[in-house]
Amino acid sequence: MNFWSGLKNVFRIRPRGKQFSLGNKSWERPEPEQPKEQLLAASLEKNRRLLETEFEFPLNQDIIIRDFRIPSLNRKALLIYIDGLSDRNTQNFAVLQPLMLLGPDEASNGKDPIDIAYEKLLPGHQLEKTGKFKDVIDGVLDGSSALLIDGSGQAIIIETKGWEHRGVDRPNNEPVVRGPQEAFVENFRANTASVRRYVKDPKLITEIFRVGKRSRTLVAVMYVKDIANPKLVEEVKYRITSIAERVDFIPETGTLEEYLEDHPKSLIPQMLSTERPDRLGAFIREGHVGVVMANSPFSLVIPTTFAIFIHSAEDYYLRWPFSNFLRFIRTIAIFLSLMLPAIYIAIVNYHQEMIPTDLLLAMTAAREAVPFPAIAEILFMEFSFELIREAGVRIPSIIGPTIGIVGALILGQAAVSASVVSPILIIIIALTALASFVVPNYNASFAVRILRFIFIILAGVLGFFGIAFGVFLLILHLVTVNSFGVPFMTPIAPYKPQNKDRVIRPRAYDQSYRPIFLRPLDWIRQQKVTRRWDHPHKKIENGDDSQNGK
Amino acid sequence: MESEEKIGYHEALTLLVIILSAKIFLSFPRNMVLLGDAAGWIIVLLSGIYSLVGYFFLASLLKNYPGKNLIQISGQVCGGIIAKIIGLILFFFFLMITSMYLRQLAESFILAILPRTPISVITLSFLILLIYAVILGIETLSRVAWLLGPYLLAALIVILLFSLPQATFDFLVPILGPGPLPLFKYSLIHLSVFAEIILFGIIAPLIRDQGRINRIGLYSLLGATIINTGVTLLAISVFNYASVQKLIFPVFQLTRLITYGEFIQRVEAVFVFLWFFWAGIQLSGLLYGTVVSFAETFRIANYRPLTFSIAVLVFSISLIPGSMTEAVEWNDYATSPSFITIFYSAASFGIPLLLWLIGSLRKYPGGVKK
Repeated sequence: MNFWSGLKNVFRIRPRGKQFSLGNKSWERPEPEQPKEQLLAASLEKNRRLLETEFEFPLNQDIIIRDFRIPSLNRKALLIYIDGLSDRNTQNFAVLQPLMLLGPDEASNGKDPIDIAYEKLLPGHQLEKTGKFKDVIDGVLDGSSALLIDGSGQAIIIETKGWEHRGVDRPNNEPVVRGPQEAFVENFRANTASVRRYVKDPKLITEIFRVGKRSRTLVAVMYVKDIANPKLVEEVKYRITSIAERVDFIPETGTLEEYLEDHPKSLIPQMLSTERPDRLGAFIREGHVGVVMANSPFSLVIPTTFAIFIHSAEDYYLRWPFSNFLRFIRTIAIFLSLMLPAIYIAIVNYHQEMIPTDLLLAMTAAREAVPFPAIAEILFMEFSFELIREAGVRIPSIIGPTIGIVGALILGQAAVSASVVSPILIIIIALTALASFVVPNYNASFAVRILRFIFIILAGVLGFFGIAFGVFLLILHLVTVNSFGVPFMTPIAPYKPQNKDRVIRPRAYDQSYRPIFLRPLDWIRQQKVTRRWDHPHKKIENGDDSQNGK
Repeated sequence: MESEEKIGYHEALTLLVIILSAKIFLSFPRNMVLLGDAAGWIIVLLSGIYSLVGYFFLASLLKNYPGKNLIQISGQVCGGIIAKIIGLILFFFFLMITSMYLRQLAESFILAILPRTPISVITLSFLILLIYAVILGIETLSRVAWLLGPYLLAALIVILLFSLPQATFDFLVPILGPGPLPLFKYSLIHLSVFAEIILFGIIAPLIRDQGRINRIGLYSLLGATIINTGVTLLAISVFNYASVQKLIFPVFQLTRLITYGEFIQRVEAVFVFLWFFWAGIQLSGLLYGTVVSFAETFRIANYRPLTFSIAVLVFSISLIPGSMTEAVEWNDYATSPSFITIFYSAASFGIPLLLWLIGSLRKYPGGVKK
């Protein structure tokens, strides 16, 4: 590896023509390759042997193979399922009972027995006929039961899913005061259904894929067909399908995110993960693509921009002055939690003249007894706070209150009394800690936490010059980051004047356009004049808004 | 050259204004006042007007060769060896202007906030940023300019507003300073105040909206004239011209005057951010010009690998002046204009004029005929 290619690796420089972008018209992804599929045999014995080898049958004890005869067809059959994943009532009363009790039917002689069972014998609501061996395996692993009948090269996958799972709960990480109080759960279908409850649009498409060669996890790509940019949808599907067979296990959306994102080495999260179906639904309505995954109570929003990370779900449910007030608070909080310790270090070490004299005297008096340099103090305190934070997540809930005692007493009061840190520093750390909890997104708050340490060190080395250095570098990086072909800092830079929902939220009736940086197929969200009674004298023509936007 | 990069209209405009007006934080107001006494601001204003005339030639060249930059145009107009010479002159222009501004900037940081830091530390850490910015490309840089531009302007206005109460407009008398004739002469020589507009000749083909490129150059020159003149004017009326002549970095001195009650005082360190970002964008743009003009002259398709070697050159040249005063004087020596000033003016406005003359004589070979 020569010097230049090493550098390219560091800076992740790709020529623009080779980088995915929504505006790049000549961009084409290769067609996905279709793997050869193993088909089911016509003989039941042969199929049974195949299944037994695949599931390691006698060894594997939660696989149940139920052999029986279907009197109406006069054939042998078998039902295969996994104990605990499937619902035994459905199996007893809707599968085995009709198959074994219904009388002979002479009229259907000569037809494929599976077709007869499908048409006449099985009363289940969701059946799927398949000739592929792989589908049978996947169906069984999903909790369905597979019915195989002698003399047919097909199988029926009967929906009998019924495992124990958690019910819909309140969101734990994105709580709101006003707005829907439900979150995603681990149940795949419950999640896709709750998205659909918020987007009651016949054009809402749910495409289902399986990722992971061994994990075979279900992934749903959700979008509104006549809003989302087809190229964006294609790219999401392309990325998901191309990793699907190359990776063994993808257990959660967090892992999937790492495989899909454009800049995996960046500190900046490029996808929003949300546990709120209403929020995902809102993004899907705007032309984003949503990804929901089985076993994961978090969904992904693709693509994501910087502005989204300072918004919260509640912003759109509150009246605009209130939500803008919250956004101001939040923006200041992000700034404080990123910069406050660094600014303190810079002022104390390099720019003491900025502190008013009385305060300076007080600070010097307080710091006089402390034997460490300010940067050592602040790194020590920040580190202890990170410890408290991590311990708070990991600690068993029974001994949870200990954290409060340890944190407040030992690290606050006692550290000051022992002259390890100065009291003003405790204020700084406490403010930073509070502010860092205001960051509305868990992933984004990680970026802020890590960057804070970098800024502290830069400030310790070069004062305000170091901070400015870091900020400039960060901005250069932010402007370079792309999320699925959409620049991260848009609609600020590149500037999109139509989309005003950046830091300040405009009134709901003033936001006529969907995010046009997503290049949606339909970029009019609502007509320019929605409150007609506000303009009683103005002549309003309906339906002409689609022409005068661009 | 990789021309996949595209710059938007707003982005290009802010980028150029920032590049053209970054010198207000350095010794530029002082130099103008040294020449023109109380009428220093008139020199800036006049050279702003001259530069509009000079810009006409550049604009007309760009109009006749759409999609081509200045060096490619010179290849079309004169061909062969002369184009190479013109390209090299531009390269040396950018190299000198980048190195000299880098040095002055580093000196101003040492003076303002980091008195005990060695200059190479500041220069090197700045160069790291510049290299990163140039490797990321002009598109990224222009977005940064657009992102930060409004805040930078707001901060500048804050400085100016806070120092306005201390301004005495009597200090502007005598209005014409040394008299009209020297003012005209100096402002012609000091066209170099707006020399960076030549960068527009290099980035013009990358602008997305080709129909508006004329406006970008024009508006950016106007904006920069307003900022540069305003700052010089205010510096004179706050300190009076005799004092400005003795201040190396007058705008820094202006920020020191900011006080509001007991609490807000001596906040000049906060304004470090202002000139760090302003100069960071400016120098990245100029380094981009240096690297790209070299790559264009020798028809190197990818300019990026050159960045490091040219950054080393910039670093070494920036360390040649022995002291701060020497660095300031190199750039722009007060009473008798330095060689570099004349070179800047000649390179940035002479080359387009020359190309325009030859081009209109030869009826723009290979270009769009009117």
